Amino acid sequence: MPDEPQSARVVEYLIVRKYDGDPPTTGEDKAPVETLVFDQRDPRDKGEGPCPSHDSGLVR
Amino acid sequence: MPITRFGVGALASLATGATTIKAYCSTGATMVVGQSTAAHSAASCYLTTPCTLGLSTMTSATLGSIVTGTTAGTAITFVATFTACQANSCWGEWGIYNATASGTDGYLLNRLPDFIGVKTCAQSWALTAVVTLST
Repeated sequence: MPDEPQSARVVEYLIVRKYDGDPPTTGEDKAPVETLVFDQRDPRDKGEGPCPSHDSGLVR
Repeated sequence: MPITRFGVGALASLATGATTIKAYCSTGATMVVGQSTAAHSAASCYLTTPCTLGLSTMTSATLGSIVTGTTAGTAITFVATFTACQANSCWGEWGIYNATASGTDGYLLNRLPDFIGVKTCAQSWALTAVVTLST
């Protein structure tokens, strides 16, 4: 079977760190009270699934 | 995934050297949040229901190494923090916007509807978004 044609797409994941009060300043060690991860990636994007038929297509 | 038409146009313009389009970088971009979890429409050009004070200037925007030619090298990490006085409402959508926090002349790169939570003035929320242009 021929390779599927490639098309560009965008995948995202978002990490939300919630702090009581103000966010930590530079160098301050303040732990978030909650951390959420919204992961929109499919297994292939996480490196867990079958490899794509091509690499990213970048030509060097 | 929900890259907007305006986002595609902005990337194409930047790729061809347009100087009238701001880059999605720490000196000219924001992260934006809104309340709507409505499904993304191809015609969407901005958030459906932006939060009041729902723009926060990017503190960093970094690109992974592209020399390997792998998809990992195209991951862009955006970081922004919403302070206690910003965007205190339900969060149901977010995106990357190439305008300053006071500007309205940008193009939304992506819009991702997903219920994140309800922010109050008792907290500040720091966002780290990783956006990958992939094949």
